[in-house]
Amino acid sequence: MSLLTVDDLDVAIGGTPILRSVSFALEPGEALGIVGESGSGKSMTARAIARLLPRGAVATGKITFDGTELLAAGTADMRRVRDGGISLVFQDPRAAINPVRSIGDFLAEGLRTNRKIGKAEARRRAVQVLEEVRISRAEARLAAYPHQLSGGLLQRVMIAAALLSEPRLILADEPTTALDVTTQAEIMAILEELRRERGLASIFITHDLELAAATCDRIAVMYAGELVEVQAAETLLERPHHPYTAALLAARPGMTERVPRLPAIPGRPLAAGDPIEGCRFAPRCPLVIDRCRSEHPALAPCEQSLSRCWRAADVKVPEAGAEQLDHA
Amino acid sequence: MGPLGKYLLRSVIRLVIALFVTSAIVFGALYLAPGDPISQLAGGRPLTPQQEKTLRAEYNLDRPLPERYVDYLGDVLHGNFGTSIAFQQPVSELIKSRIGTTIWLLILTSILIAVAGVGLGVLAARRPGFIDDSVLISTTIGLATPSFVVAAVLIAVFAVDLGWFPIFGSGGSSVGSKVEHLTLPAIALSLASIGFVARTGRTSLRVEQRRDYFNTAISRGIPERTAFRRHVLRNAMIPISTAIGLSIASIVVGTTVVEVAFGLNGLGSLLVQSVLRSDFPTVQAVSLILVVTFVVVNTLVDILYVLLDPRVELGTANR
Repeated sequence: MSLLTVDDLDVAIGGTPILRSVSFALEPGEALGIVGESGSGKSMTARAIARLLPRGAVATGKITFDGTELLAAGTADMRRVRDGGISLVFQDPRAAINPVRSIGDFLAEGLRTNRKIGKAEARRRAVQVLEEVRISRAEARLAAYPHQLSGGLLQRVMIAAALLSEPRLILADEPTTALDVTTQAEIMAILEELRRERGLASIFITHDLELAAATCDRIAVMYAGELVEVQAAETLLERPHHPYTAALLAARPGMTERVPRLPAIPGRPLAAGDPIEGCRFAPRCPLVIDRCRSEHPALAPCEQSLSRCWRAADVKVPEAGAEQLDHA
Repeated sequence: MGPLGKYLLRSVIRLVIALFVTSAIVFGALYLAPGDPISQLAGGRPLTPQQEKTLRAEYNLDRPLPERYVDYLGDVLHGNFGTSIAFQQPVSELIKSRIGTTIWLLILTSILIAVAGVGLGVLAARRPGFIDDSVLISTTIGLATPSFVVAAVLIAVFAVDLGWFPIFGSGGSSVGSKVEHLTLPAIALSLASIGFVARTGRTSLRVEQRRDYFNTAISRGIPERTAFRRHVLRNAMIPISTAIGLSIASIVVGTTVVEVAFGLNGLGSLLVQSVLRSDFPTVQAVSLILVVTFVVVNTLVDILYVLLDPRVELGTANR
């Protein structure tokens, strides 16, 4: 049985759709990457799963985690899911950790409040988990305050806190976006290692398709509030089945040659709320045909992939750095 | 010395400088004010130059101002505020007999401001809609109404019509009697400040409620009320305590109006009486005490910052 199933999830704020019929499943221990540009709905999907939607947002559909229906769960059930079920790692640890409370206080909070674990025991576990995320002088760090730690160190504290409740799923919403590149690699390596060691399932939300492909088992690509392609990471880079995925891959700068100008996907990204009849990528798509403008495609199997495209079979393998979409 | 010690030392140095400057201003201002204490003493009778000279010598009015200030400072540090011209007794004794009432009034008022201000702020922040609107409207009225008007209304309704509270006087020495007599004055004195604190609280609580760390706590399964207390209220207490501190400091001055309105024999009414009678030594002493209280309360708020916000001591607080 799947650990998490998201079934036909719609989210709207004030009547404007943000997410349109998002469905996917996650197996225990599986790592799923959700990739998309700003406004594609990737963070909103994470927030819906964590039930942390902004005020005024209405979610419909079904999200089932380990037998609990999250959108219908009461306070007590939700607290059980949050303590030991799903743990979150946020984008900016400096904003996600209360600046006026000590690191030790932050780490121990869940254990002390939810599980009534004593001060000394909570402290022992906090030190242990800090060592697990490779923080030196763990004992001394407990007394430190967030402003005394670097961003990378603080994100490791955040991960340590997420691990303390022994979750089955880690939901990481752009955990490396606020950090510099070398720190990013460290954080990803730690997350990866812990995930494998503990057999955790994870959802990694990012705008970096290659980073996601390198660290996840499966990739879900989102565009304008809907899933446009879901495919195993190892085949996605070689054989995308949605023109948007292909365009994302083409837009990455090549590692070996210099390009005069970085390629970009032509056109303006559509907002999830924009009313449009056919395919939501049609206005920017190089493969567009008449049918795309009138009929909205469903997420359908095509070879080893699930793709929301009428011409899924015709999508070409992109060349890194090539400006193949320049004709638009 | 640790950073906390250094911070405290700086606060104390600032306090001493502020006291020095304010005492000089209080002392100097009175000699610039119109009205000569000698003619007040004479009660309108004409004085011979000889009589006037004797009086000036008696009250140290015949020596240069800076010299008198140094003497004055020395006396004040020994608890000697001189002799009251109007009451013909040592100012320190006058103050001793009056200060109790004012301290009680300030304590009651401070409690009211803190409890009602924070309470209304939390209520407004957590219950948008009718309750929030009601708090906003009533605090606007509270802020806009001068304390002497509030005093008149409170006396008319609760003391005269309903008879729940005494109309007049400071009460006996027992706590019960003090509270009974000083409740209405404390309400009159605190109403505007409650509005100020409640509004500051409402705004900062709203801001804190939208912070990511509140979401982090919720996402870890911390019950909403506990998360609110630990992460929203706790962080909002930084601006709220400033508002409370400022309010308490400003009501020190407001005691004059309310004490007169309710016929309380505190320092505020003493100040008004002595100003009206050009009783310079008493005015000086009471003004100095009120200013010192103001400065000390502000210093306490500064120190409270360090306890509430760990970023302050390193001078890196920016929000």
